Amino acid sequence: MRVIACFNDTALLRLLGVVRRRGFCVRSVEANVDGTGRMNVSLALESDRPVDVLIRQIGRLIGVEDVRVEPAVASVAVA
Amino acid sequence: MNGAELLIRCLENEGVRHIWGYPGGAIMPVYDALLGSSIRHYLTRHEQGAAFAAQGLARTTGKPGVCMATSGPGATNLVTGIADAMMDSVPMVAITGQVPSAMLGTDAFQEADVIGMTLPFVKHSWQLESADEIPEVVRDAFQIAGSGRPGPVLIDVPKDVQLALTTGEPLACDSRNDESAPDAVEVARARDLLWHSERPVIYAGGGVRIAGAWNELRAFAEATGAPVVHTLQGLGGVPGDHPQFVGMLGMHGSRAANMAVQESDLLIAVGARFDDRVTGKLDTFAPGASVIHMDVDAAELGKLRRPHASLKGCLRRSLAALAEPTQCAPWRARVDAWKTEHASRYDAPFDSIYAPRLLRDLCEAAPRDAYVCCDVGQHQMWVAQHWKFADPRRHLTSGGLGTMGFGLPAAIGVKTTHSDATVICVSGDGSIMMNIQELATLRRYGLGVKLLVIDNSALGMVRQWQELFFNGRESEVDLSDNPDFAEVARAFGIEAIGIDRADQVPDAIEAFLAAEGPVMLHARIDRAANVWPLVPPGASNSDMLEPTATATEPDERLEPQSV
Repeated sequence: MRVIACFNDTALLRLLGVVRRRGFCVRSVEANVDGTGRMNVSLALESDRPVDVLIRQIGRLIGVEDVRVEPAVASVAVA
Repeated sequence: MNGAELLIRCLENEGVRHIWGYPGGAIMPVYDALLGSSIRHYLTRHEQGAAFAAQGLARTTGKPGVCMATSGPGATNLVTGIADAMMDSVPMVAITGQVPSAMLGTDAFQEADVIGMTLPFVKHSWQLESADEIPEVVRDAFQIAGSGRPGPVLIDVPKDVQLALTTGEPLACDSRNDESAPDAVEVARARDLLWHSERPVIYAGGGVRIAGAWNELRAFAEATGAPVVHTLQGLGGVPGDHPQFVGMLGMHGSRAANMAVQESDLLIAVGARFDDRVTGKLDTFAPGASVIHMDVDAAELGKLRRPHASLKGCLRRSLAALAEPTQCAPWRARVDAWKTEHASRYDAPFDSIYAPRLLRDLCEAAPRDAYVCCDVGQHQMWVAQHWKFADPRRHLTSGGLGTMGFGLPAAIGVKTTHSDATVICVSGDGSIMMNIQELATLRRYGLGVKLLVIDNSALGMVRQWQELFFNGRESEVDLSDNPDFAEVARAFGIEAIGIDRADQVPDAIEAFLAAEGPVMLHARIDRAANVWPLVPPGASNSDMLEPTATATEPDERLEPQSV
């Protein structure tokens, strides 16, 4: 899963918190902040729950601009 | 002007007239700035009371309620009220003082990471770094709290930010909200489902209240002719005495409501979220039904039950888009027959007070537009089952989090907001003790809240579950050493009436409703009284338990009598 969001002190915490609370395990995470103040996060996740619901739950976070499942990641990790 | 003064000016600019809170060291500059402000501050006797009082305003007006506390324990004491607001989608702006920025992370006196501890249950939060941020943050806080699916936000203000000089000015309010229409393709799909349905049921939840959509819901129900069932938060969506209203569904729902849902071929979920207390065992819930799901929050669509048509957007517009006749008259007749057959009984032939009848009689005697704030437990379910609400903003109850102690401070918030209204708090002997200190707040401000305490000398709902599901092994539910609550009320300077017999109820209700100021009616009931019917936890809604004939309930084996 790839998430693009406005970066601030709590943006990554909020994202990871939603992922955990909604029943997904994080198997790996990569994050960086680009020159425009946007945080790019790649997550490998594992769960038996539907990922489309998680996408909408992450999409509710203030400052999240884009959430998508990358096929390579999804095929490995996301039900 | 310093940051604290700017904060107050920004709150005034947002139209805030009431704040509930409790001062302390890290928020003293803000309390100093309150002096001379147009905002009236109400001092509760515990920060949790402040959070629930703010909910009293928010749940009845749709506008964000504001509560305030100091750092550390002040902030942690707000947390339950914030979580409660999140679970029930209540708009709230919580403001906390914080230790000075330079001391953050040093384990300073009364330092607590309130941003961290509330991350799971705020829509958003800010810890301010500069007084110049205040106008933008306050504007965004109110916009976010009140828009879309409402909820709480938190602004944490370090003391140095409160004291810093600033030239900032309040910004224009941002009242944008999601009024978007549902997708046309989904509307067409939903219309097709409605047209082909023979057994539709409207399952309406708290979203109807939040969206202010009860008139549209009623119009939709009357156009389609479909039976209506409500969740706990949805009660009043159509009036409790409306002929199409079948009852509350779910764990303590009516048998007719659960039967209708279980037998339906189309479930129209309106601002409802398929909560486990509603569905029972999820994969047996409405097993033969297609689902139309309307919600402003896309994340609710398909979360627990895949809809066949998803109408994301403004509920008022979604309901209006589907308000067309259906062909369900024979089905309505079946459901009406179930409703008659399984109507509540009030004819308990005993001397002791039968709580459902007490509540029904109080409902009939009270003004139709009275606000009723509940605590959590058996009394909460009895209110839901036996009070007929005129609209959903008249019923305040902690549904999602189920917080004992909600009722009294929520009633305080309602009464301060609607000073001319009749405001009744229904509590239990367990719940009232959770925030009983707020009797002092009632007295201080002379708030004419009417407080009914239904006292069974036990944690009744837990006791009932232990009786039914733990072989009667009672564990830590006995409250037989309760104080005399009427005497407690009098000690706070509040008028009180105590009763323990059914024949005392009529006069007590009359005196209770006639009281000018705050008043408590302390009603002792039988310890063994249970809430019926009941779907056992984890069971299907088709498997409701009914009462056995006991000393406390009407005998269901007898023919109903007119009472």
